[in-house]
Amino acid sequence: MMRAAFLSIVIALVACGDTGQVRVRYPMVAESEGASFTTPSGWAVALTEARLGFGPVYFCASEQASAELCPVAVNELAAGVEVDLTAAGPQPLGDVTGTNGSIRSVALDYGVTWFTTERQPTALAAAPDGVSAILAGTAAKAGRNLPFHIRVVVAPQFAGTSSVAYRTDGTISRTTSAVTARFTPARLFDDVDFDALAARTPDGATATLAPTDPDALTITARLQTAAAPTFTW
Amino acid sequence: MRLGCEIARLLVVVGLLSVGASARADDPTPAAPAAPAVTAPVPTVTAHAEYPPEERAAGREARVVVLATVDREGAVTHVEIAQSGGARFDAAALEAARKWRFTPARDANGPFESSVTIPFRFTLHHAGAQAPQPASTQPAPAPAPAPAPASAPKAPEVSVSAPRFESNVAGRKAAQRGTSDFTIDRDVLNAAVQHQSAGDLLGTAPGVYVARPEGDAVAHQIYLRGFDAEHGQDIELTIGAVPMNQPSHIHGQGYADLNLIIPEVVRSLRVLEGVYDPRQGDFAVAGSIDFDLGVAQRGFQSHTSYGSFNTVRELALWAPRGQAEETFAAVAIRKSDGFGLNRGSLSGTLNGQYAFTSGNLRGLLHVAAYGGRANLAGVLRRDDVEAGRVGFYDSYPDPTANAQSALSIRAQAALSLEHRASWGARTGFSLYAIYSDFRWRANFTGYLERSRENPEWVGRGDLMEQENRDVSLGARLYHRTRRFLPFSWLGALFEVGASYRLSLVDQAQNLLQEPDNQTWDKRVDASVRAHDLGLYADADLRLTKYVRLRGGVRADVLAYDVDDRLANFIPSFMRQTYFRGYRRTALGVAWGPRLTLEVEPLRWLTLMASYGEGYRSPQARLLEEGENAPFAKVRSVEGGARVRLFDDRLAITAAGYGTFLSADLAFDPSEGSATPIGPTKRAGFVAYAVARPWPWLVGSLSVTYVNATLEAPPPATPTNPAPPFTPGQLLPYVPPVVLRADVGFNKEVVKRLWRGPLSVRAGVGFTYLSPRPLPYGQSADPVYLLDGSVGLRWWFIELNVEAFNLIGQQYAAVEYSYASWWGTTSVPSRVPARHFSAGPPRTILGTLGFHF
Repeated sequence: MMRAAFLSIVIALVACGDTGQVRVRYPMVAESEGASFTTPSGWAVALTEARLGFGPVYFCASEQASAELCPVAVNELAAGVEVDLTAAGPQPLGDVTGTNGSIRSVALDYGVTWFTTERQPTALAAAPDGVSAILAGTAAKAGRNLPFHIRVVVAPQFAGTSSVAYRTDGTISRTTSAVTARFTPARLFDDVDFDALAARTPDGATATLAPTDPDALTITARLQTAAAPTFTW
Repeated sequence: MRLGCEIARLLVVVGLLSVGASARADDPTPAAPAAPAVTAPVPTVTAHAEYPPEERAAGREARVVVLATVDREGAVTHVEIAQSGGARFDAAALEAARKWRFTPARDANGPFESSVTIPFRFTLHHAGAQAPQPASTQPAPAPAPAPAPASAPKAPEVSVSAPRFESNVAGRKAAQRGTSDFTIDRDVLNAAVQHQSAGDLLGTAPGVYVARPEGDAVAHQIYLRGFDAEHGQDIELTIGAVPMNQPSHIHGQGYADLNLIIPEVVRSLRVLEGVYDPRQGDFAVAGSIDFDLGVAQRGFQSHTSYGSFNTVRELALWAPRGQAEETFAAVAIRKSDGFGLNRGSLSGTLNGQYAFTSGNLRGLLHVAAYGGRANLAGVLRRDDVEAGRVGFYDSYPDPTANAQSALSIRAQAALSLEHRASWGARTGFSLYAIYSDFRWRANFTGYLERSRENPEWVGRGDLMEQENRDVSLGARLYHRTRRFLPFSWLGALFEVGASYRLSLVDQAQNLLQEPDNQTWDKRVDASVRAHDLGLYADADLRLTKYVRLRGGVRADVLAYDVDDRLANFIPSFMRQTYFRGYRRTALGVAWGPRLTLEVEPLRWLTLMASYGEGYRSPQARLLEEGENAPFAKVRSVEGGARVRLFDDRLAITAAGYGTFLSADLAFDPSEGSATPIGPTKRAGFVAYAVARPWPWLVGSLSVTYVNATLEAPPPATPTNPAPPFTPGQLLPYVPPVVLRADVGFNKEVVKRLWRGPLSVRAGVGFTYLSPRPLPYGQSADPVYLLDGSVGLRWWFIELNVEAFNLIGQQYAAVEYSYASWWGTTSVPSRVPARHFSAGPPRTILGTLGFHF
């Protein structure tokens, strides 16, 4: 009884005040806005395969999520996962961990990372076939059907940095329950020149693009800009 | 006055108990009960006091009590008035007392300094009346009364008698400067276990917790009353006149390596929590701790220890008989494989002192030297341990982790002189010189750093190397007046003092790549010349026998000359248009009052209230050119009570306190040192009890609670957008509750077993640390530690077995919260995680000692 009383007093005393921050943990889910769309140049695209490597994702308090300005992340998804952009419903990606606070930017990779200890960019195990994205389907216009298969690589420029960093806003508290990463596949193809691609691809053949192909590089650029996912808590 | 007698009686009891207990702790062969452990001084030469003619003519009588200090030779070296009878009577009594000679006080170790009270009664009586006979309770001679003038039969005759005197054993305790002013004697220091390092001794002080997270060659980490003092940034640590703190040390401001001190030569600790004494100087933010060195047990001792983790320690200690306790020479060598991976260590220490007297001059020569090198296991991530990727006592299987180590060298010498005038004044002067060399290599963050010199270099391992070389020269002088008694109800004593310290510091910090020991980034390359001139004035006023006011003011002038050779960094993408480097100077003055009011309404009860303002000098490299307020200010307030019961066999102290610090520091793993975190506030209470119910049993218990908060931490900046602290939060790393209990038993069980007596000792100590807040919303686990020991002493042979962490708890010596990556996971984490440095597991040591 004396021990219980002593412990009660001690617990009451040490419970006075708080440490100022709380640890949080909540799931991240991915949502994709449709696998069929029409490009600005009038090609109707239907994706049959759209596998995107995703992560790690670091949410930062600074407005610029560079490696120097985000040495400590507020929240993170410290894993590489694969997202199916053709899936209709939400896809669980894993748990985000960190502390409460304000998020103003995000730095992420698409399955290909360049950590400080690596001599060159390296694909995570979750990267589809060792690249950032594999996009396959059919583009149709004016009676021409063009099957395509595109491999995309998005890699950091320097060791210890992320492939892409941009502004995002979120306020994390102990009641934050989930975050949704929303992808818009249509934006990936806004700059793909299907006209030129169709012109150089024989009828019935599949346009196969390597990561260094100019049209694949447009998708790389879109993933780093307008086609980067948006986050909603 | 009566108060003086009360104090004298108190000193007798306390002193005899202390001496007895101390003697028993160091020499478990106390004398048989019929023979006293201590013999009082006995007068051999007495002298009459002359009746002042003016007083005789005026018909005045008086009683004067003189307090006289008797040295080891039996000479009276100091006299002062304990009870005044008036200026002329006092002068006459003092002059007479100075001429007395004694057989000095003695204990089992020989003669020692003591004090006696000599009452002089000046009485007038008419011729024909019997002169008063001295009533003697001690074998004291009574001087013959002065003859009456023959020509005036009715003229009053005079007599001056010293009917008796009381002998005291003078304690070494200084005047109290606050309720939390503790002197911890050796019997309490070693009640539970014979501590293996002087730093570990601090754990017996109320509110102090000590850890060794960085191995045997790095200074202890000390927590005191809501302060994480790191390696000494908030605690002024001294060995008498020699400061232990090193200003602007690269590993931590105020770095103080207590490995220099051999624990067996520590006679007592004075722990003053708060800043209430004008003598407290730089780094006295949480308080001050002074190591009083001395060896009560005279002769030669040899101790050989062996135990867990292949730990071997050899101590040789020589304390010449017939010399003062302060005279000794000791050498210790220690080697250990350490617990777990990468913790081996080797060290050697020398401590020596020589105390001498020449008439009224007392001197102390002090020398000490230490050299130690140890490997460091470093820190581990909690999640790696919990996932089984690394063991609790392991080190990361990584070249940079395996290359962590520390080397520490320190040598110092000091000479202290004090002149004690016959009229009671004291004048002292001290000189000291210190040399230290420190080199430390550790990796806290794994592989996150990027070269600032060449940004393309990254991921080569965050093995940080720090180097600090320091030469310090200093001096101190003071003058203390005799006690003045302008009125019967007012006594006053004044002291003025000055100190000066020059520190010449060279320091560097680099990042190294292993295993080739290649430097891949330079972070610091600087030289600092630091000057600290301190002045203080102190008064000790006694207002009636119930009230005492002590205090004064202190001012320090701090000046810095910094040559920062890597400042004004030129990025690689910029064209060089100037030379790197930034030399700057700064000067400032820190001053503040320190006061303590003491009220003793009852003999067993003392009430105290204290207020003080102190400072901590800055890390010089952080100063800007011309900065004129380069220090952290602290305001400290305290109120409490001390109770002494059962003939002082039980002493209880309780106090409430508050501390306000203008600029606090906290450890930053990415820098490997402490960085500013803004102002902090602390409020709490401390309770401490020491019981000595019997001469062979001592126990102590202390509980300290603190609510420490961060008032205005650094806001988010572009380069630090996610600071770890928020306003009003609990201060990280500070344990709200610290509890410590020690019980020691030391008794002669057989008076004579063949050639000598047989004594048995045993002890147990318990430490509790409540969960500590960590940055980023984390919390460290509580710590429970149980230590114990048993021992035998027969004749000249001693055998002890010490056990540390008896229950074998896996605990963290220190915990942090920050981001790191060691490659133990496929993807690095940038979210702060708990890291820790493991505390030692169950450790058993056996010691065989010989005493000659």
